[in-house]
Amino acid sequence: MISSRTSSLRDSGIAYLFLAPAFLFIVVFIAYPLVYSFYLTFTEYDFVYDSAPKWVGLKQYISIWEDKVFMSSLKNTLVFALLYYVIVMFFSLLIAFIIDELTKGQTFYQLAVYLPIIVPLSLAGVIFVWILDPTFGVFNHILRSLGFKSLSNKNWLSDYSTALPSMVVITLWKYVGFNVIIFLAGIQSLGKSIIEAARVDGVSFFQEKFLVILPNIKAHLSMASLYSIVQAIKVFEVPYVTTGGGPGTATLTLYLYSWRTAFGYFKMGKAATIAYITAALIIFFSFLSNKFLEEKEK
Amino acid sequence: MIRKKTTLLILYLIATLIALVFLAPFVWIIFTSLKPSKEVFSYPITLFPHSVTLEHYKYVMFRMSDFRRYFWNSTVITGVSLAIIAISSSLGGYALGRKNFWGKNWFIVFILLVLAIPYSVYLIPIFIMETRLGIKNSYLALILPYVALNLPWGLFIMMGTFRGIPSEIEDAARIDGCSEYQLWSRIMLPLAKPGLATTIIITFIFIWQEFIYAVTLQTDAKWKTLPVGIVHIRDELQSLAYDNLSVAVILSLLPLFIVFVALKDFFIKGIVEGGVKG
Repeated sequence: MISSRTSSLRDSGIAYLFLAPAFLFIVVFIAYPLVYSFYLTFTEYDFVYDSAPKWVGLKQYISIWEDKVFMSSLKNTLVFALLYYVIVMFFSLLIAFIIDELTKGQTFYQLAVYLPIIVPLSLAGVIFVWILDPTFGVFNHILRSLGFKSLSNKNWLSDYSTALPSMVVITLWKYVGFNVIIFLAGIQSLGKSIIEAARVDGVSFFQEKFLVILPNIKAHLSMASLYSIVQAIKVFEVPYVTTGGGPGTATLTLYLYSWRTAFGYFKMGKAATIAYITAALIIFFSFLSNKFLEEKEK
Repeated sequence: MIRKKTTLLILYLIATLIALVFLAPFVWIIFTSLKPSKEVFSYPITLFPHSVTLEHYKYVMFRMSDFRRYFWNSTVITGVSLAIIAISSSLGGYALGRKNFWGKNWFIVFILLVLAIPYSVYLIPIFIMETRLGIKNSYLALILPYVALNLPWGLFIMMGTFRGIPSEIEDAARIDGCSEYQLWSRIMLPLAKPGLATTIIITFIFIWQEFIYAVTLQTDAKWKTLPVGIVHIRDELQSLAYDNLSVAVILSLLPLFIVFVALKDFFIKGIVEGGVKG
């Protein structure tokens, strides 16, 4: 008894020692900032003029709702997120189903869809600003040669109605492959017997995919859903690089607004409040996603 | 059971169309990089390059000192961060995967939570901290937060890897008189190599691409990394400089491309086994 207790004590000592370097980094650069920025949400802190944060209680959480720019960036973020989430989930599922069916050259098709994952969002923005350029851009050129005259003069990224959808497209290009990876892993982990049994029963392509396979890859669906929620809400690089939040505030997102409030206007208390609200949105939607997609058995 | 030939043909057609759409931006940026400047800005534009030149590649590689500087910054910051992450996550992952200690489950829950919270929440305090310490605009300015932000990911992968090693191996090594450190370095670590490879490629891709910390903490042009530096070059040059810019984009994607194509399977494993990333 005693010897096993001392040995387990010794064991935890060793464990702490092994964990120490990682623990130190996480405490200083994650745990402390997490707590400190929560504290900041209860203060007013102009980083240029104030020597220390001033405690104001819940003021930030109340006054933020009267800020028109905040409300418009909240709306933009939600619209972007909804559009992006629905399309990315559906599209990547469909692409995974198609690639899974291919008998030859699967690796090529996978690589083509996965490749944009390596492009930083900021550079994806740079590339698409060039592609969507109204005069020298290839996109309008193709539209012109296909005969879509009225569309081919559009300035996609500076038009009120198309700027946000264009950003959705750029983000989709980068991340669809990410979800295809997850869905393909799910589909290919299924035993062949389920699918073959269904085919013997003569189900159609879509019946097989959506009624037979889909319910069996819930874990992967849930994982892709969580990734997509994070991608849909933390939108920063694309508006930063392509539109700067404009025209007006048409593409200003919560993430970009929080960043500007902090590092453009140095209002740290307000910026931390916006950042926490953004985090709360992600956690709320992740929670919803878990509730709907988590496997109920156990 | 094989599908009907026509069904398969239709699927191939759709798949090829999809592949083309995903590859088109790469193709376009490569074409642009090879066209002479006059052709890049001709109207109507040319789809395929009429004449091919390497002048933009020569210009960016040999005469654009800013670009070389950004490439070097990215290399140093990514390299050092990766080394620290590799060491501390294979140490910490061992403790989490094979030891029992007080607070272990709380720690695991905490790092899972961290993966879901957006980066900006930490950024404001880190900015304040680094301003006070005077380490903004330095390699350290990004290395420290990059290590911390990617560690949860590494710890998670390494924890799973170490946990999967059979305990008979550990018992046999102990009977042979291995010390704890020897057990870790000579027996466990070599067996955990696939996990380590996954950790390294995933964090490599994340760090080389990172934008928001880099744009905030490196305000001085000298210290910028590629994703921020290229945007900076674009803004400095004001208007359309896409001939040289596309070369800069291609060259900065090259390391990612090589690593990704060579180690794709490790990356996939990391994504599927990882969890959620904020």
